[in-house]
Amino acid sequence: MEINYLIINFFSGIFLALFTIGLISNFKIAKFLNLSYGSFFALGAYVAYHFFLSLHLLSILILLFISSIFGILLYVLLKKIGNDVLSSTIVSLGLGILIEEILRLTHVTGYFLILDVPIKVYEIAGVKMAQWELVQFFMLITILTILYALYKSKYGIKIKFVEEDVELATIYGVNINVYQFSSILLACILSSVLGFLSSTTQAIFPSMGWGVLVSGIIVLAIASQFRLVGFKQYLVLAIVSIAYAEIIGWF
Amino acid sequence: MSKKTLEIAALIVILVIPMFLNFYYLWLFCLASIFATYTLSWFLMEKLCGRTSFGHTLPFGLTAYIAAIAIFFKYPLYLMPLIALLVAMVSATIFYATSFLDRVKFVFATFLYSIVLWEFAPFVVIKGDVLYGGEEGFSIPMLPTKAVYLFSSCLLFVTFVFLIVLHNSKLGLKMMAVRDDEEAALAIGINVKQIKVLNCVFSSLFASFAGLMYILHFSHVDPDIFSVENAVFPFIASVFAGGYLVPVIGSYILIFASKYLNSILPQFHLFLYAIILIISPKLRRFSNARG
Repeated sequence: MEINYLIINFFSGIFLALFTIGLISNFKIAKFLNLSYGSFFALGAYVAYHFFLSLHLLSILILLFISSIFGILLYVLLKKIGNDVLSSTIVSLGLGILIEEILRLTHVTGYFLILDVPIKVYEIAGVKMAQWELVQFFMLITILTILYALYKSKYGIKIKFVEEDVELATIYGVNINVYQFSSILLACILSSVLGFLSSTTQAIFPSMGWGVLVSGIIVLAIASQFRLVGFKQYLVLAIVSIAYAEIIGWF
Repeated sequence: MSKKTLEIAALIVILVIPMFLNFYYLWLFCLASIFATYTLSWFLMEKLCGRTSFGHTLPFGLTAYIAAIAIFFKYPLYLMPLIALLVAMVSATIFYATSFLDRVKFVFATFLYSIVLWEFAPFVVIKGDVLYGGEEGFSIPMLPTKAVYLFSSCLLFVTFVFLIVLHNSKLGLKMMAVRDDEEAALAIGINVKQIKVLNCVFSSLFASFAGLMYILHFSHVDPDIFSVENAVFPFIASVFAGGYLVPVIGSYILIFASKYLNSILPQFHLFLYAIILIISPKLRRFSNARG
């Protein structure tokens, strides 16, 4: 019984790590706390609710399109309006509320929505695991591998430079806009993909992203104390996320 | 006539007019006066101590919640100010502890408080003959609106005058010195910690009493009192702030606009909040440049 709880909490930690990767990348590279991140999560779940049953995996293309539009909008707003950490964070909060309200106004209902799709369960070494839990485990491994390769490539040193000192990076000729744009866009897509994939396991409503965003910010705050840059910060983030989920889950 | 006297006179006019209007407008003005007090309590921390808080739903909402539960358990009404005081002290302690973080982290931390409370509040359930609380929240017997308006307008007036007096006092000057440069303030002999404590206490006190007025006015409180909408309300209402009357007028405009937009489509006003938040850095820069 206790082993089962440990495993459930472990997978919650995996999910939290996946979710927080985008948040920390925005914080370190684009230099703001993305408070619209939870709304992108809700956006992904709503796209799944409307298109998954009819289009199946093709609905991911619609998801990519919609989340990219809003991701680009966020980047443009930050460049035009946000000129420091605080104002950028507030702009992202405004966009988050805007997305949430668009979802609320286009779904005028007081009830939670449910995406009724049977959940496949596998039994591995006597422990039952849902398909979604295995998917997120492999997603985390894949993303960490990609990040490792990225930081080992010629772009890695530039990204580290941007993470450590954005002004100095600009002076030395690093095109910070490219890295900040990529970070924001990919983070927005990641959050909405996670919302899309986890939509079958939870009730769907416009403010569903705030709870997970709070956990993400707490994990981000703890992981930031290690003051790491590069691939190591993501590794530490994954460990902190799992430890956090185990401790919170235990209580 | 000085500008301050004119501002106080204008506030008195705003507070007296609703006494001659019908019930609906009296009710709306009462709500606006409560939120104006809430905004001023927030503004006290922002303007005098330079700390932008997104967590003022902590004293505001917690007082309303605990007062509703206390009334539910048949505690007398005259004990409610004691609850407001207690919550104000707890909130001030939390704000003071948070003020050791830098200004940007202070915003993030206070925002976390409000979201955590918002997420946690639905779990507050009391088991009686049936279950009370949860998503539905708590209700109390209705009180006469005119009586509540009298109290809420007095509270707004006291808060407003207190802010003006504080702004021109020695203590206010010390607070602004701490706001501008903590280390420089320390170097000229200002007790920075004491000033911060006082600022947190004053700000939390007025927010707590505004929360008390809220529950007496609405007769109902639910987890949405801790919502992002309420957390960002003072920030939005004071986006054009110069003097102390502007946040009050901002609060009134927001409450009236919200009710109007709500009649077009439920919760349509949040759309307006989102737009103002997005352009708020530009508006603040414009407001500061004009100032």
